[in-house]
Amino acid sequence: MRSIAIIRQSFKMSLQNIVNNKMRSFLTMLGIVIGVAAVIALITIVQGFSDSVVSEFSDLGAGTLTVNAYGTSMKQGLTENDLAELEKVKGVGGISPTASLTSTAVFGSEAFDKVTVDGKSDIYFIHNNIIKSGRALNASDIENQAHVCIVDQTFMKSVMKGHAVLGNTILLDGYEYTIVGIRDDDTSLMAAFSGSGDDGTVIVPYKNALRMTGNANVSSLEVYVAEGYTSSEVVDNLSLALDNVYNDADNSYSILNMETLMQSLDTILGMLSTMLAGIASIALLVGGIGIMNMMLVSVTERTKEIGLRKALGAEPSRIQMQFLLESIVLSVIGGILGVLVGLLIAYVAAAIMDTAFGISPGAILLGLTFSLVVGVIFGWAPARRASRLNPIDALRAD
Amino acid sequence: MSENKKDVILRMKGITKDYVMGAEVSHVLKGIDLEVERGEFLAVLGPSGSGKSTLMNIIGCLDVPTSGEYELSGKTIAHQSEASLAQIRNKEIGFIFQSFQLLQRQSAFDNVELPLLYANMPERERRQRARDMLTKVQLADRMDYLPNQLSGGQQQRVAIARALAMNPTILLADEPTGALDQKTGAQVMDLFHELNNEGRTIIMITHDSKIASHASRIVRILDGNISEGALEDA
Repeated sequence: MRSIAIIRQSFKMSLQNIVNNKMRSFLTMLGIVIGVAAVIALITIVQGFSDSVVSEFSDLGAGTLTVNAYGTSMKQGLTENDLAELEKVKGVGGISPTASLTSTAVFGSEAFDKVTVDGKSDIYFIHNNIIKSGRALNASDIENQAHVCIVDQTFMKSVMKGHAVLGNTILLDGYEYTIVGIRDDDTSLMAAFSGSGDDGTVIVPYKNALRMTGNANVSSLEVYVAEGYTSSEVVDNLSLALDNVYNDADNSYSILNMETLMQSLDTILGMLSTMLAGIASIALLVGGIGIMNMMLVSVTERTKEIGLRKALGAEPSRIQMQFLLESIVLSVIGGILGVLVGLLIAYVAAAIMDTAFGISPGAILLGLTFSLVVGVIFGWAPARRASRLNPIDALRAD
Repeated sequence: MSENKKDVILRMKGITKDYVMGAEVSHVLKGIDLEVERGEFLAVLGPSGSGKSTLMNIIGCLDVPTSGEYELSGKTIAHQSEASLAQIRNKEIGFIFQSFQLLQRQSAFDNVELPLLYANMPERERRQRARDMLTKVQLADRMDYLPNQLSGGQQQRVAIARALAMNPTILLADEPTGALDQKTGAQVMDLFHELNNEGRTIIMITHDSKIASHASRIVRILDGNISEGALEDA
């Protein structure tokens, strides 16, 4: 209890001295504010950017491999037999052939020629939960090449224009397709890359889409990694199978492993974040030197006061604590302001770059700890100097 | 405590103080013997350079002697740590300085409270004590004033209230009227008399024999030597 009272008293005196020297305290604090703000802003911005990218990639589903089978001049794409072989590869939990094209859709008497037609299989819907209303495509739709489709939000806006969607029909490639489902907003990076048509996207059984492209064979598919296997294991196994299909021909296929891509991206961003924070912490160092400078000036200015306090019974440790607390209070207030300013900067930056903004407790803790440590380190020497002043000389000082 | 027995609260025996300046050693105090009884009003009279400031620093436990024995309130002051010297000053000595030495940014009340803070006195008691002391020096209506809003005499009274706050064994005054005009100086001396009449022990360091004459006992210090001084050999 005693020591708490002492600390409270010293704390009060510290605050008083900071308030008494408002301008100087503020300028000194500014160094810490800038340093901490820079560290917090950079960490938060990079983290937000990283989160955005990762979440977009993970929209594709963790454990999803994308296979592009370019084929050889002898053999293009993959046949039903090949697909069946791939399905048997160890670690493969399912494959979903895809086919994509831009086509014309007719609704009522109006034709829309910028519609993306995406062919998917029923397996795709098992691994990607994208249906907002209605139903997904099922195995019999695929098998029977049923004339059913799922439309996206853009399609609803630009083609359906407020008409009833589910159960309505559109004309695709000369056939009447019944709309059985509506998908959610596709915000994934992949969608941005592939570019949904201006008039929206229609998802149909992949065999139908394949027929529309005029190809007999599948040239792209998604492979889902079975539980208990790692993506890279499956990549190895798939490579063997595909080498077999194409007789080891070079450049006949590619396998894109989102997981490793994500991992390396994460590593790079993490390194970037650490590096930037490291650079920013130089500002913190400069801020700390500023605090030390102010504290030294303060000790010199208040030599007489220190002498008097000692004469009245202040122990050296008490004087040291008072000055140390003053520097800690100064730099922690700076740290708190810095965190706020840093988060504000990060928030604005996230809004401008259209990336995620997340308050990271770790970064805030880091900022506050940094400022506390700076306060202790750079306040120590001045406080020690104050505590060691000889009261006689100090009292005599002007 | 028996009335007729001598109650010595300060005892010095062969106190010397040397200062080393480069190769030269100056002997500032050359063997001081001094005894002060409880309730005495003692003046230490000496010109500047006589060693009286050094003696005051040693009495006030701001400095330690080179050799000799110093006993205060029955405790030997020697080889103490800075921290325990600070505690002794806090409890035993009430300092009154020529230039008041008030913290300029703190109110009269806060200034008086300061030694109580360092004694870790509980807040309620501390506030009460500070108020009482300021009332005693007739500044109850000026408690929240800053030192620069007070006259010199009032400032010195704040300093006296501060010196009394811890109820110290000795009031140690260093030229207490040096910065005051004659009239205010006389008022401070009246206050000293009043305190002394209440049984307070006062040691006053001065170069002014007129001021010293207020004391009930005078010792003279010259060239580091002390002598029990009568007034006539000025």
